[in-house]
Amino acid sequence: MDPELDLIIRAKKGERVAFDSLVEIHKEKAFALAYHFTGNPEDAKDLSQEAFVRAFVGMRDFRGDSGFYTWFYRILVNLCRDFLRRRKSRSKVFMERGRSWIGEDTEDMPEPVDSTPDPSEAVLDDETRQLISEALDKLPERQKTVFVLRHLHGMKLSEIAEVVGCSEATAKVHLFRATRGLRCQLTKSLSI
Amino acid sequence: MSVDEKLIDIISKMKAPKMSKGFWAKFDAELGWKLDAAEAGRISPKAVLAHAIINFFAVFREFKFKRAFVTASFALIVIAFSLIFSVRNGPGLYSVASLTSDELIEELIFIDNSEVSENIIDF
Repeated sequence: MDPELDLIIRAKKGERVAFDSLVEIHKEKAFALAYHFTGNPEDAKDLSQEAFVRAFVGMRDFRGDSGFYTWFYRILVNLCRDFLRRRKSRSKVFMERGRSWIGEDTEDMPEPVDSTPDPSEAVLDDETRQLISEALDKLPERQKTVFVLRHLHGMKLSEIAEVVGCSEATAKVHLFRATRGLRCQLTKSLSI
Repeated sequence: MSVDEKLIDIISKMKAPKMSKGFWAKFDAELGWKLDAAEAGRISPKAVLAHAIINFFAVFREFKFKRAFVTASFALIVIAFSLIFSVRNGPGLYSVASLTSDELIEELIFIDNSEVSENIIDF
């Protein structure tokens, strides 16, 4: 039996240890997804924790007709989208890591990042990251969601459709429009 | 490589920052407290009822339900309009069994005098 499936079955019965193991498997991906939406490690931490709590509470009702992965990510994506909607209504300026956080309490400074370089990963410079972040933020919410899930998290369109709550064809359209929007914004500035 | 492929190749390198061990230790500790609180709250009757209500309404957010709802609504609209127009344009329809004897006689006289009576077969 798939080890994760065994954990899911035991977590559905209320076994906390099994759920903790699921958290261990998915927490880094969950954090990364939340970070791509918020741009802020603290907010990403809070959102991913909230998603795990909701998954824990709703675990008994998880029917298993979709994978745990897509079910959990649906919870997380909805939380991120709600967060973005609330944030839009507030005038708050945030900046990428390495700069100061305007409008935030100094007690809530982001946790230190592990700056040990990973030679296996190609790294973008800060300016490029900033340009891409701004371009992604300008996309409509649905388009940004689909694009991030597809190209930053490697999800299949069928999985994205389940997570976002639309048909695969609609997800494809959102992806096409997102790519077109980013192409218009970034081709010149990234010299492609 | 097309422009789109180059663009996606660049953007896909935008990984989330690699957080320190201290960050993950704090993450695990905080999440542990939150899950403990959720576990304690999960078994209270109020929480169970609230959860059941939330789950019930969560069905309506699913795409499959929305699609079925739209199809059913469209079908109802079509049926409703068909009924409205058929009642408006046609003669008022009512059961003959509901008529009193006098009303029945009046109807028979009406039918007999109307143009369509020529097409009615005399038994």
